[in-house]
Amino acid sequence: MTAHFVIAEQAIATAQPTKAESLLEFAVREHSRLVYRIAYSVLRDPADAEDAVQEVFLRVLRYGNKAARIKDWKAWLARIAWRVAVERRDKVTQSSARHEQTTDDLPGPGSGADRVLLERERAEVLQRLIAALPARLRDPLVLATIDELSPREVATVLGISEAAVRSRAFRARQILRERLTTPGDRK
Amino acid sequence: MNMDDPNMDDRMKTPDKSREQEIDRWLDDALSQYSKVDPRDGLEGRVLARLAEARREPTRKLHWWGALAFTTAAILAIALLWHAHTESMQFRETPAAKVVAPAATESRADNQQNLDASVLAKRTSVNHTSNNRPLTVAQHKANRGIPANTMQQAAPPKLEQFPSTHHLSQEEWSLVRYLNEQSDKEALLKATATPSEVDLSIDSLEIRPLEIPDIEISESQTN
Repeated sequence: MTAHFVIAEQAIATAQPTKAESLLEFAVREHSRLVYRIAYSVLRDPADAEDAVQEVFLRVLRYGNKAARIKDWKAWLARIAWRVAVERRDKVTQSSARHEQTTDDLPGPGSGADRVLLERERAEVLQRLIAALPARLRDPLVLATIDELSPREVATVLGISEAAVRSRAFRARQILRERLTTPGDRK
Repeated sequence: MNMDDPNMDDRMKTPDKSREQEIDRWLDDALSQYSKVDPRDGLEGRVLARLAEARREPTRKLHWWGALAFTTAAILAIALLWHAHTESMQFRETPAAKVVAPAATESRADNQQNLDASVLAKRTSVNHTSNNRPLTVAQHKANRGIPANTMQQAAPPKLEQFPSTHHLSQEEWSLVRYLNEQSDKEALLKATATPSEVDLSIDSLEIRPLEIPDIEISESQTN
């Protein structure tokens, strides 16, 4: 798997500009999940996140042959995905009432309904706490929760140093921990 | 409860520590799950389909622009043809224009009598004062103020632009100068008469009385 990924990265890096279209298709196959997760981490809505993914790759399409010169497609796509998601978040006022429960959200027959409900509640609590953080602390923490992104790549996306990413994420985590331990702040 | 017990602090701290550890674990789990969301199946296919559709859009736009450009060109061409056709029809309807339009032809001299001297003088004077520039629309309108009788006499031919934008020829200028000196119709006719017309003067016809010879009737015939 790793070897395949390395070969694919090399293929992207060494591709000729005339192969921009096939490069784009390759990027969709390889990085659409990462783009989706970044978008979802900001928008917290599956439909909005998917729309953001479409928009990200449409922007890449508009780059045309220039896209073939990009060396680090993963970081580049992550940066575009972050910008698109933040722009969408600013446009759309996200409300929990808007999010309709679909059959995908319902617990499956053998998944343990209690556990699923507990996880959902935990996610909602965490989401509220993260949303209450200042943006300069919230953004590194949110991106750090995405497994596919290293601190260096998070730093590239946000345009800050890697050390700043680490320190801000740590500080954000500390604030969350304090609020969780203090019963009054938990609501 | 013995407050002097040295292990009391540890025992009191233990619940706090365990709670903190529990919170840390909870936070780690929650953060690790925060963005661990998979998209619906077929996301890549949907994105690729959208991209394929987006690639076709410029072609569609190009077709649309091409159709618009072709329609506009066709309308312009039809308008130009119609205009040219209308112009030619107007020109045909006014044969007098054929007489005046050519600058120096012999037929002009033949038909010169149709032009009134005063109108011609007016035209030339206007051209002279305006440095031989073509008349503007305003000047055309101003020229309409000349007496009605002269206009009726002149019966100006319909031209594309009247007076003509062409500069006056040498002969016309000499005629203008002559007319300025003596704006007389007869003089104009005399001046514009061609040598052929001069040569055409015919002497008055002289009809002599018919001479009938005397007929001598012989006596024999009478008998």
